[in-house]
Amino acid sequence: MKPFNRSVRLLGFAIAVGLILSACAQPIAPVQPAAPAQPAQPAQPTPTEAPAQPAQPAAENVLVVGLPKADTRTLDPHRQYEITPPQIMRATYETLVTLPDKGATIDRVEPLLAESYEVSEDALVYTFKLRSGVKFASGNPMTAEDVVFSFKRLGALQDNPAWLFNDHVASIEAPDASTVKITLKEPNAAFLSMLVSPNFTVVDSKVVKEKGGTDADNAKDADKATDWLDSNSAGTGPYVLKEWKRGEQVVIERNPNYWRGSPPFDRIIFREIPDDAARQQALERGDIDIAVGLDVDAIKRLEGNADFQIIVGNTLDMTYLALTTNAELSKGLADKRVRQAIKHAIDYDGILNGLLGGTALHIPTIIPLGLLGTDPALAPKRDVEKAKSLLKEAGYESGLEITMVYPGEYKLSNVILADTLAAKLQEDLGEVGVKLNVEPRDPASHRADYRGGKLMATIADWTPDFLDPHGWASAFAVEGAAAAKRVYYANKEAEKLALDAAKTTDPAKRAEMYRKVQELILDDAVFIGLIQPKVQIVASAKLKDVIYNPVYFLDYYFMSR
Amino acid sequence: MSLLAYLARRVLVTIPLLFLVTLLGFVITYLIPADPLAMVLSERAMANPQIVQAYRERWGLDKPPHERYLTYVGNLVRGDFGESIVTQQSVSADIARYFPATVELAVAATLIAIAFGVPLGIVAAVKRETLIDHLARIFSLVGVCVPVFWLGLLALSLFYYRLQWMPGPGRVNARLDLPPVVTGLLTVDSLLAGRGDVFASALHHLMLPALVLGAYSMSLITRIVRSAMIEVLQQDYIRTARAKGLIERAVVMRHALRNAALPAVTAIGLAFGNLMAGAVMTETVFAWPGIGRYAVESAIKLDFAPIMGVTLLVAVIYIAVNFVVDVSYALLNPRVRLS
Repeated sequence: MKPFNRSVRLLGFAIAVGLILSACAQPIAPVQPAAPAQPAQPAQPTPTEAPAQPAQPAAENVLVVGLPKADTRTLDPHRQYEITPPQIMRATYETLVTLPDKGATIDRVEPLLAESYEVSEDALVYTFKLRSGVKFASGNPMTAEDVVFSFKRLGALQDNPAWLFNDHVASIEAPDASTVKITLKEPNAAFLSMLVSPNFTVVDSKVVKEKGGTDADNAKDADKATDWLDSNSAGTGPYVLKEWKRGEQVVIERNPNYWRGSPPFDRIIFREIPDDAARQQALERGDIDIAVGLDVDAIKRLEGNADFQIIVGNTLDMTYLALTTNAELSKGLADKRVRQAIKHAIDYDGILNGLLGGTALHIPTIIPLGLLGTDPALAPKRDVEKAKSLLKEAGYESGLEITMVYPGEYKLSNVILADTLAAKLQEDLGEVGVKLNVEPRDPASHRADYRGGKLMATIADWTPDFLDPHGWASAFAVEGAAAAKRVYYANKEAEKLALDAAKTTDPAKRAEMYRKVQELILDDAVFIGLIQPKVQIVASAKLKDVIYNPVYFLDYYFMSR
Repeated sequence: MSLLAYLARRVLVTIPLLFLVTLLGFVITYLIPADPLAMVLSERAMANPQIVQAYRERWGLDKPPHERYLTYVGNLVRGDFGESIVTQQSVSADIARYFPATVELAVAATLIAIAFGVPLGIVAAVKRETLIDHLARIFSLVGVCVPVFWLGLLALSLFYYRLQWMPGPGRVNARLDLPPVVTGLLTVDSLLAGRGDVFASALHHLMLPALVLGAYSMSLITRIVRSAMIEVLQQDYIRTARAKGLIERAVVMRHALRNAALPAVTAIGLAFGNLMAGAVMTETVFAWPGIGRYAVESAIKLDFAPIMGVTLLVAVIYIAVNFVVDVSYALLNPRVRLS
């Protein structure tokens, strides 16, 4: 009987512990936070625990940003290439050039860490004169040596963004402490806008070297600074990185040495709250000041609320329909008229206003609106009669069958389930006599098959690599390039224009050339633009200058309360 | 057989089982016709042979599959779980980062489930076919049926958003400075550091998700305790106990509950294993940085080392829970022998 009694007692104990805990767990009364145990703790407002109380005397000016699921892999500026990091990068690091008008203008750049720059007539040599008196957070002055180290490290690490440097730059040198001279491998008028990218941030070379960083050719094996850079920063930005708790939050603090004056917030906390509804509640409760990625219905509900402001901006993301030109995959689609018929069969208005509630632009083909050479008027319109007559001309009067593989349960451009869009296209095409078989596949396999050029038709999304039309034209219009090869697209005229435009320095001439490229792709109807989502950010009405930036998402330098 | 010998034998049986798990995991991951690099590298980087080569070398993807598997197992034997392509961290570091949060939640959820489930089951059995019994049955039926993410959202909008009794998503008030990580269990670490403010905030944040996560186990336990008790209460020895004049309380608590405990222990054990394996939905709704989200993220990205790391962890947890359940059988019922 002995072990029996003992186990019963054990069970009794477990139940007792459970009861005590559950007594706490019963949501009967609001539990107030315990007073800070340590006097060293500054008195902080604790809205999580006591949200109903009116503003307490705030000793600290803390901004809390609620983010959806963060995809951050690293916060090393020369390695990161995901969606979440740029806003943190921008708050902690800076680049030679930036976007004018606090980021609202995207078709040209202006100097930031550079004081001025010069581009050679042939778009081959870029010379930057650095601003004097800029200090890193460490107090070290920023010099041309730091710029050279930073850019070379970006290339030598051979990580995700390394191509930005390696594919373009032939040499980089510092003739003196305040001058950087970059010579490209071939003329490229888009290089200046690439330098806005957070990968081209300037790091404190002394600090990074001290932490094991190197820009030597063997950096991909020899560089050991990433672990340190994942939880610290070494930049000139208004804030410094204090903490990155993966899956939880990133904390940045005011940089006391900031060259443009002290920034307004003591701390900014980027909290990951993956669930949309939970994030919205946290915003309404005042636990977070900014909510990113709320769903359309939630935003509609907050629209009339005076406590909040809704910031709308145009992203450079896009979702498009790709149709193969390979007759082995589809004899029908290899005929340009069939592809054109599909282009005219799509109910664009129904997608943009019906499915998306007007939260997206109609991108004509592959270059997002707002960039050089784009024009909303290029966008194709639905014309069922024209679609039918094109099919008839091509000999498919009685219709044809096409199979479209799409990534199942995947949110294209983060705004629309591929399944929803596929069903809509199936319906639209059905109306002109094209039987669209839709076939979901897991996103990883879909991506592999699309990249391998195995699909007849698909819907896919594309995120910007850098801020110039060249980024899209070079991938979609050039035979064998990353996107073009997936549909076996080859149009000599479009290819030549895309390549020549990159070597042209006159913006007006370039704009004309990119316009022509888009017209050719539209005529070929291989890539049919569907959605360029607008981004909607909801922020507390107390915040000033919350401005969407298509490269950095939000630039916290300008923001204040 | 002594407990020690029994334990040794169980561990020995476990080892080949775990290797089978790794082999199966590797084959499945390998058979998926997609390149894991494509999940982390951009289109541009994928088009750049040098970057792709650097990644292949770094993660050993340039080697033939059997060599990769042998390397993996070789490292595993040395206690190295490999590195995640997505987080670029060692899997053991990742698990050490995310697992404690899950343990904290699962333990709290299980305690709540036991604390409510066992008494409710007993009462329902004793007061069979009364209003209390019906209510308990409806409650347990609902608890088993309701999807946890829905329950989570409901709890959050009621207790956090409307009534404002409970804190929102997250493990602790984001504005607090946290004590150094010792165990990774925030409630324990804050006490070790003597930080009452952090402890209070962590405990407060723990309640709602634990209650939501525990609802399913609670219902399960209620149902099993109830049916086991009903069966036991009809036995002859219960009639004997009553006949010899014992008070009802002693009959139920000492004679009946002991014998009804076996199936309940199995249910509790399995439910606990289930919770430890990660509660993705609860973790998502409550922004809980646990192992469930990590596992799902890794699976989506075809990230082999973490997928295997979590799989092995879950396998070990289940094996351990089964072992504990078996041992507790022997302790609870002297007729059961460990063999």
